Amino acid sequence: MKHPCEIIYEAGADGLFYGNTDGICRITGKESTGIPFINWVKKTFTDQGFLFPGTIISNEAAFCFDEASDIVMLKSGKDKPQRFRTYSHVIDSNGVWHCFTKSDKSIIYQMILSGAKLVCLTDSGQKHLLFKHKVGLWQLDDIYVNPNIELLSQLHAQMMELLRLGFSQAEIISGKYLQYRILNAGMEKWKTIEQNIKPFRGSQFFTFTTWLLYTQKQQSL
Amino acid sequence: MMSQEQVAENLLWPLWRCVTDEYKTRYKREIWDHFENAVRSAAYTGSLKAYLTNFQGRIPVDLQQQFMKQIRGIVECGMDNEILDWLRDETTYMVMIVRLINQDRKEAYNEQFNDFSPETKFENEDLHS
Repeated sequence: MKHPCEIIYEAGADGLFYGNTDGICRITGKESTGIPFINWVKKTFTDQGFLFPGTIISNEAAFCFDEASDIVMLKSGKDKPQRFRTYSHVIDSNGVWHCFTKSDKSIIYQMILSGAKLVCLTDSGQKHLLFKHKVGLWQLDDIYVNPNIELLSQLHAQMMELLRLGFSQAEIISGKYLQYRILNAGMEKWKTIEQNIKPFRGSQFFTFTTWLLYTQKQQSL
Repeated sequence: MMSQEQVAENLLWPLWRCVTDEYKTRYKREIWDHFENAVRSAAYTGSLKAYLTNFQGRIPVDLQQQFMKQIRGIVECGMDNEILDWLRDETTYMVMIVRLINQDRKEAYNEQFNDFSPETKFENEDLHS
């Protein structure tokens, strides 16, 4: 089974080369070529538990840790090399790799519904996530959920309706609603939707779904 | 078997009616938030009798004789745990029911007021909240 770093590298790195030292990659756990791990790793790297025994970081993995990537710059349409970790990474159902920011939530959501092959989303963009990704699951930062497109679309539709009725994302997440908003929206409508989403509140799937909420303004951007 | 709506009508609505007029007037703008918070926080106990005591410790209440039968009906129904769960987890919904009952009552008085001369206007601080 391919490591997520290998999948992304194949999908869009165009054979980018960081080093030619042979060995076993501490990120992917596979034999490859790259840079000696000891030369690459910084003291600030704390995810030791995710490392394999080995001596190098492969070109595939190094690409996914790149702090100044021209390829991500081109994909994101920016004018300076970009950090790989800043972006949410999605490989769509056609095998095309995309880099997204939080303003692209509507597109990300549509891609997930269409059967995206790799979904690794970040809220803060501060941590390296992709090397921890588990292929086949949907990831949001440190949350991993089993793909369930039907449940996602049902929950998401209900939550979006609450947003449309004037409730805030914070209210939907917490379940603590302001009374005047309920009065404005209509109690029956609110109650019906809230009853449907309430059983999922507190679950990781619920958190994942709420992250994918967007306002209509965002959608039109 | 008691429902959330019945608890709202027969416990929370009487409690709302018994909140002192002075308190309702003083906290006119945020009285419903106070009420919701009191309903929720008082429910962190093990029995409905203790709930009543807790509630009275959070908001000044003058329990009126006319509501005692309704309140007792809930407090002594033997569903303490389930009702306390509702009061903690379904607070907003149950308080909204009370709020709507209050609104209906307000409208009913307004209709009554429109039908009669201004002198017959029923003065009650409850209706202003």
